Amino acid sequence: MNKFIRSAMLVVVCALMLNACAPATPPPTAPPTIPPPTTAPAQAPQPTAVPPTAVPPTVAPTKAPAPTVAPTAAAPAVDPNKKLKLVMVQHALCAWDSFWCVVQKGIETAAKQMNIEVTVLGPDKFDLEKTATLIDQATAAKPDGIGLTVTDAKLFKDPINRAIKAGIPVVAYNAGSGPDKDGIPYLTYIGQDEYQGGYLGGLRMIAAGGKKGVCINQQVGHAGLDLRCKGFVDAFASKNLKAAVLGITDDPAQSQTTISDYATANPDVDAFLTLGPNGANPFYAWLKASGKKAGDVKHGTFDLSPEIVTHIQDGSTLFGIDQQPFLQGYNAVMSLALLLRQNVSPALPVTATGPGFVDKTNVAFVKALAGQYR
Amino acid sequence: MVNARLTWQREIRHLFAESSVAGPLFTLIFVFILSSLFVPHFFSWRTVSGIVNAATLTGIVTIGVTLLMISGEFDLSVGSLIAVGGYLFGQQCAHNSPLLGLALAFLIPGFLGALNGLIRVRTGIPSFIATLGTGFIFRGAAWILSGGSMLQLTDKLPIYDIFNGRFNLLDDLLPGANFLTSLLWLLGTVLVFQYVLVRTRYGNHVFAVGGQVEAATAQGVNVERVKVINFAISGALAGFAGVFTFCQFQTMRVASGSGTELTAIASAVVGGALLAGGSGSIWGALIGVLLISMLRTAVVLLNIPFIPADNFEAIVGVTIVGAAIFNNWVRQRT
Repeated sequence: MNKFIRSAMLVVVCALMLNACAPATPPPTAPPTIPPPTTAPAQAPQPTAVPPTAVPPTVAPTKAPAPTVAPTAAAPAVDPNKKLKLVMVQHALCAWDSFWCVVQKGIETAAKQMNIEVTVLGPDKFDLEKTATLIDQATAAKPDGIGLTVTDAKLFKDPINRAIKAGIPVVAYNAGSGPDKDGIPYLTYIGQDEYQGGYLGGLRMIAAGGKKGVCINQQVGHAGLDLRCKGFVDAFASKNLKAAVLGITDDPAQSQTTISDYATANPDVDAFLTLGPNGANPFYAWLKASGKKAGDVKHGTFDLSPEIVTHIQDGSTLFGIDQQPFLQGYNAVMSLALLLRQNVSPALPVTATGPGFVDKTNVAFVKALAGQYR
Repeated sequence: MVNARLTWQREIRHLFAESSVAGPLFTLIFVFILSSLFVPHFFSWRTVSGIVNAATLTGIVTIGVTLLMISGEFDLSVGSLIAVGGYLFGQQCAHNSPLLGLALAFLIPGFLGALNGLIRVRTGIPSFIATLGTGFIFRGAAWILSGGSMLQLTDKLPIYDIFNGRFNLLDDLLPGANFLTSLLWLLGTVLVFQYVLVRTRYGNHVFAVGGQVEAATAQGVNVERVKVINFAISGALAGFAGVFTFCQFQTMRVASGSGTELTAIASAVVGGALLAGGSGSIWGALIGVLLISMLRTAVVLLNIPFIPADNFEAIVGVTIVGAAIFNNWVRQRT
């Protein structure tokens, strides 16, 4: 017991000493030295001309767009060789989702070419709460800039606002809807318009003869994936057709049975959308086991994998939606570097990298780049 | 005549009281009959084979987990070991040496399982915590093995059909059936371990270690050895499950198998194993896995209008709890 008290006292003393060494009060954080983002005029042209959900086209920007001229006071000096330290926080890692390897390759390539020190943070499995705390950790590390995925705008709002308040410029990549729709004043969202991806995918399947659709979602609750499904369902609704969402799990054997059961219970469903290799893999297993031939059902998917490319070539998959993950990672680093070194900021709330459709006509070209740059 | 009926009733009572399998088996048959009557498309070979296929992967893992639970321990690292086994096997398949891969997929997860056991018995940390930690470590090992990328092969090897290919004999006989050869491996593994558990001295030791450690030690049972061996078996079977997955889908991700550890524990409990140890059976575990798989299929097939198809897991959860309560009730009444 005595020993315990002694060691406890030692710890307290050490803590006090450490505290004494630290600056008494943190230097008052200077007001963000970053010029306000030059928000685009209200009508941000969406990359594609399909009617978006319900947002009236005349949303007034919450803040009057600042003049593009840099503020006179405390204009940051332009230094093209400034040493930069960036942190990227994302809801998934290359370690457990191969899609992210391409994103991270983009990040690493940009970092190398522009001579920037970049740290990538992410949870060790899909966990939004954990990702939110990682954003706070990134802020605590006081980097020059943060890139992050806005996987859940509500949950991530406070952590992102804390980073912005601390004077750290923030860009979003891969998951998000832009600063206006997310209600978080980060600079820009670099990535695919998820809703449009689902919507246009749905229209393509209807054009190919699809009458009733199902969106197979492997991570129900992931805002981006949910938006894809919503776009898909809305596309069917716009033609007075029906579509639903089917949730599957991480166990491919179980997912295959679930897809099979759903198809049995709903024999009129003829258009299947999967949201990536994790869903396409059990879908193909079911297709083979059920003895269906290419063209019996319409299948479209997000993302590409060796298996998906093979099925696009043999005609059993109509398209793979490519969101250009390499460009997302590369552009996120580049945008921050341009802002911090040359004082140039992104123009639009959404900097689109997709949806790009890979089908029979262009699959050979993309195949050579799959897993590396596409 | 009257006497015969009384004997019959006594036999039934005896069965429920003595065997931990009777309750779960009764539930399984009850749910099957109910589903066959009321769920459209349920009573068919297609559905039955789908239920069995969905259960094989978890089933193999559950056997090891149940054995461990009977000896009073948990293993939360099996999910990660599925990925380790799957990568070890898949990478050798890519080099066209699947037999070496098979050996590695058994031995290395088995060794890592034994490591779990050693940590448990040498340090005295509860296995729940120890394997929670090693589960993360093993997931990291899978990452290192994989180099961080998904492994997907497009060439087919004959070994895939041996472990998890189409079960032609059965499928040609039964209309609409889509059984896989993994069914045979699952049944074989169940038989072997059920035999070990109830007919061998080692099986006795497993029950004794999980029931009353002092009594077991007094009888000369090497408690530590039994536990370490069970951990090794649990690890090796998880590696085997990785082989199954790869044989069927030719795809392995670092995240593969995550969550399976909890389904396995749920199945063992639904199948009559006690969380405290000392009771349970391998048959029960198999029944538990089949029951959960059957409920999932039934809920999807029911097509309930107010429950969207992306939220049927909640119904499965409710029924797992229900089944566990019912099993307990049956056991206490008899």
